Amino acid sequence: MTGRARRTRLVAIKNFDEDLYRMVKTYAALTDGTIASVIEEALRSWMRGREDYDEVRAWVALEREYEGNIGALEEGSIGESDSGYVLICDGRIVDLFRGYGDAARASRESCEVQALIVELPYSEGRVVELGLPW
Amino acid sequence: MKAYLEDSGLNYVPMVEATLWDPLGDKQTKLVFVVDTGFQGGVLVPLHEYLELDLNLFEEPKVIVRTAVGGEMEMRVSRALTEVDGARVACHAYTTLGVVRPLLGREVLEDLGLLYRPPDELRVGL
Repeated sequence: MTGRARRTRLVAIKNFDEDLYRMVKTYAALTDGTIASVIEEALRSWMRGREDYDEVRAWVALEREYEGNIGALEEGSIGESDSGYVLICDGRIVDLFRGYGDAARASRESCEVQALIVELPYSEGRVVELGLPW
Repeated sequence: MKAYLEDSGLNYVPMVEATLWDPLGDKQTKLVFVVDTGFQGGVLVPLHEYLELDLNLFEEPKVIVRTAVGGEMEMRVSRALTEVDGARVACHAYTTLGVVRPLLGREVLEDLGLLYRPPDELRVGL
C-alpha cells in the first residue's frame, strides 16, 4: 500500500446467495470483523490467484490518476488562445511548455504514476482505426 | 532488423523486429510486431511493455479506437519512437488491457514503406 488514505464506497449487490451471506455474517462476527472485511479478504485472495493480477493492479492505479488528471485539464485555467504543451500530474497542472521535449523531461523528473502532456489548443474525441483483433 | 513471413496456416503473417523507445529516447525495448495495415496508429503494445518504457508519464487524453467489426473502445496513448533497421520514426504507442501481440501500423509504415509479396518477400523500409 502507498501512503494514500484508504478510500471506501457503498456497494449494493443484487441476487447475492442468502445462505452464503449468513455464513459470511457469522464468520465476521466470530472474527470480530465486518461483512465488508470478509468479502474484501476473499476478493483479494481471488485476485492474487489471477494470472494477470499485476497488470490489472497497474491498470487500476493508472485509471485513478488519469481521472484526476483529465479532470484538471477540463477544469483548468487554460485559455483558448494558449499554445504549446501543458503537463498535468498528481491532479494538477504542473506548467505550460513551448516544446514537447521540455514537457516530457519535466514529466520524467516530477511525475510518478501517470502524466498527461497535451498539445494546445486541446481538441477532444480523436478516433483511430484498429484493424485486427489483437 | 529482421522482417519475415510467418506461416502455419495463417496466410503469411508479416512480422518485423523493431525497437520501441520512449519519446525522449532514454529507454528502449525490442519487440516483434505483426505488421497491420488496418491499424491507423503507430504501434499497439501490451501494457507491461508500455509501462517498462514509462510511457504512462507521457500520455495524451485517451482515444476512441474503432475495430474492423465496428466496435469501439478507449485506449491509452503516448508519443514514442519506433526504430526499424536504423530508421527512427516518431509515432504514437497505444495500449489497453489484454493486448497480446504487438502491432505495427500505418503511422510508422507511411514513413518507412512496406513491400508484402508472399510467400517469400517482406520488406519494411524501402
